[in-house]
Amino acid sequence: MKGWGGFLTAAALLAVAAALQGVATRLAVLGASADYPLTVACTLALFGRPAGGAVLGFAAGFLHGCVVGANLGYLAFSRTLAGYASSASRSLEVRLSPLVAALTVAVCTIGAEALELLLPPAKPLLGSLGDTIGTATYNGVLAIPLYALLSRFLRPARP
Amino acid sequence: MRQRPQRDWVWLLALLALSLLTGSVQRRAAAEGEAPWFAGFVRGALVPLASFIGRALDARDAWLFGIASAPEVLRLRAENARLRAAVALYDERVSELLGEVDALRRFVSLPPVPGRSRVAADVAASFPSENRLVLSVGRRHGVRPGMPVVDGNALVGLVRDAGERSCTVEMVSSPTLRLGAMALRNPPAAGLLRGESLTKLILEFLDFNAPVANNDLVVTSGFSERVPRGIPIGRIFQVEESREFGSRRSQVFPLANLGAVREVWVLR
Repeated sequence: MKGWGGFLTAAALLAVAAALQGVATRLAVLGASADYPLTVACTLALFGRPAGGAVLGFAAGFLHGCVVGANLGYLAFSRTLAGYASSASRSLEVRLSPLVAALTVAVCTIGAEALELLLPPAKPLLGSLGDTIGTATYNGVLAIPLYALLSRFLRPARP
Repeated sequence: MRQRPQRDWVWLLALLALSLLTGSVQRRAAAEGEAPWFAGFVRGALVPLASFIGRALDARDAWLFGIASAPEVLRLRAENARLRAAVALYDERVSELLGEVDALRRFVSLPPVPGRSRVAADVAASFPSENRLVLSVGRRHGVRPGMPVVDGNALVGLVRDAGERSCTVEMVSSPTLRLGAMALRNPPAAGLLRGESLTKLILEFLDFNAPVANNDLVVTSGFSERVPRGIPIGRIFQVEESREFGSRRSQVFPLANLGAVREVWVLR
């Protein structure tokens, strides 16, 4: 993912994702809501280098935090790590496919959400765990068509 | 090429530091009841898009509802018209009585009661898991931090920070929100309310012997500059007491449907 085309695609997708986050509860399935900016960042990160993934993750957390008015430091921090990890996962040299993208996004979501459990105020562990698994599954499912669509236009960078 | 992994690490560390910095800027701005300038900019750009998507979903829901229950819609329309007429009668009487109260307060040099005027607002974005709402009104409409936000039935939350054209609301379900509340009894039992989840709030009573029972209505106590007395919050569904710690608290079910609120009033 390079050049102005890549930048504009990423910016447009992240903006739409952050706006969609505002109605995420209305698009919930079986009580689970997606984290759209995180899904977009982690999927796009698969097409770039880890530094690019970190930038995408930071942008996702920043936009999400600004729109929600939630803890911006935590959101940007955790999403930066998730974007970096998503992109760095390509060093495992597994052939990329929609299913691999789904799994990567789901794992990165769990990692990013798990960080929240460490922050005050304390949350009920079981409830938060259930929410995290629901969000990770939803994000993973969304990543399949998103990856399939993006892979038609973008070429993954060499790991 | 060999330097690339190192460069990736540098980027990562720089961005993590930037994350902590933005968090710190946000905390400083929140202490003054404002959103940081960059959040206002991002919200200004994205809230209209979120509102547009929300309206598109409303239209879809209305269309599906209309197809599924056309006769019911006609009945509801007629009922709505009747209720509007009845409310118009009450509104007149209520504003007359409120005018009298204001005049009497002025007579004894008391400040005006807050929350008399109200601003209608759309919920541009809803984040129940973070206990936050983003409304389509801001400082330009007279909205300030600390103002109460209500839906048709009950208190939804308090304005946390206000930008020019949008504001964020911390819902009553937020564990970090503390609010003076009381169970409506004679005498009323006052306490401090905090959120626990979207369907459960905790009211800690100041008096261990406070006479409360299940199904008591909980309202705002009004011991605040911005929140008027008597806004319904919820109903008690369980009372717990701990004699060792001398504490008494109750679990409250909120009256507002916090997960699905679409239109609200900000009380000024």
